[in-house]
Amino acid sequence: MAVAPTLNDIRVIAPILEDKLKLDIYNFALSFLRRRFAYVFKQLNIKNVSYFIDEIKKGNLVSDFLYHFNVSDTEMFRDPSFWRTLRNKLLPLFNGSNINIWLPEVVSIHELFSLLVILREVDLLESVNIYCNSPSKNIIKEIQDGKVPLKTIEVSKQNFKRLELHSHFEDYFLEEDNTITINKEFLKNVIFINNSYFNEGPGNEIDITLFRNRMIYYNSKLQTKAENEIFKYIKKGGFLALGIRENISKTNSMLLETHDKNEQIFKV
Amino acid sequence: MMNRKASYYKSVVIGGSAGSFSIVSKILAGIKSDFRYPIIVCLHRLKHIRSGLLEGINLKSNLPVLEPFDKDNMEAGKVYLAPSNYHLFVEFDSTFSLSTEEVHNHSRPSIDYTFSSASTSFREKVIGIILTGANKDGATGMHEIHKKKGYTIVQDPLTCDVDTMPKAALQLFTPDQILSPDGIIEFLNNL
Repeated sequence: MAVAPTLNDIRVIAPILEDKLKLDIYNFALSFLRRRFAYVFKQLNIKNVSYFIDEIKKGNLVSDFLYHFNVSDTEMFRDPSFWRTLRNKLLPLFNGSNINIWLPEVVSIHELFSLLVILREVDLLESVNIYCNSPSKNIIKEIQDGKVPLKTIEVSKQNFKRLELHSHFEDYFLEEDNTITINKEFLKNVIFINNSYFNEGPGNEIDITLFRNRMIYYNSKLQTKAENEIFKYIKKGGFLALGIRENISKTNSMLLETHDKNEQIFKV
Repeated sequence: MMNRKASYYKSVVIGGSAGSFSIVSKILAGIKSDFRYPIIVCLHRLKHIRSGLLEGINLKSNLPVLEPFDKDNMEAGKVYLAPSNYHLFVEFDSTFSLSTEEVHNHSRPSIDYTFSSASTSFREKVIGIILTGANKDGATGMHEIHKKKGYTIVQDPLTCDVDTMPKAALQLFTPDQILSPDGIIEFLNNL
């Protein structure tokens, strides 16, 4: 049976992971670290902490750790009113010009595929560059495969209905042999960056950044650090979308104006 | 009744599911307006409906009810309702953190998660109250509070619309009290 590391164990593990992955593990929220390490250890069937540390040092468990550590999205079109706002209010502001969009920490297909569908709906799929960071090769591979996890389909379909579109879910997703995939052509303008956004940015100025429900796992210090990293790339007049129960840190709150309070969209 | 010094506790956590809206409303309508502890309420709710529940509870409550943002501070005399489609956790520094991790017991927010984090952060200085509900979520969280010497109250199953949730808790441990909704109000007002 897998063990659940204690906070003391995590204090030992954190600097090793920081050294190996350049990931500021220790500044994630403490309660999150406790349960996420327990989750990762269970997924990897880790039976003792020393074994995990040794394997990380040897580089053997690094990709598995990166795959499991970040919390995956569990549905497409989460908070449908956000996607309606993006479609009806935010994207029209760009008036058909080319748009650079950034997902600094893509963790599954869900957020990206939701975005691709909305862009297709407003006929902007050909007018965008979408930059997606992930330190996990496995996550990028999963996205490129275009497969939607079956267990998330029902809730995604329900959310899709709430988008109030004229199209149907099946117009975008092909169901075949018990698998649901997105048209891979949709991924044509998606640029994957196999690195943490702390270590490598999109290399371009960004119009819209979607960073919903990622900083809720950070403590305040790491949130401020993350915001500073992201602000480097957002154009003057560009937008940042957070989760609907997230806020910009107090330190940085003066740097942005609230564009849409209900959807937590901020303008630089 | 307990013999604790004033301001001993750091929070009251209340969990419920089917039938609990009216009980929570009744408790918050009956509680004194100078109640000195933060109250954290975790109810099973429809994930895609953001508004309505908060407004409904606020209508009758003697204390202000709000849905916390991630990293908000907890304050005495306020009621914090777990937002829909997020798990709500209590941190050591009396702030809230949210999560979109997998559903637990078919629920997000999960009562177990909120209760367990409160017991980890505040140990014996938590009062856990489990109300009427149709699944077992919350029972393990209540047990965690009990194991860390927090004070535990289970709604009397005879007064519940659906008694699955309180009975699941009672199967795991013996709480400090089993009370009716009126009994819970009286208990809180005498803290």
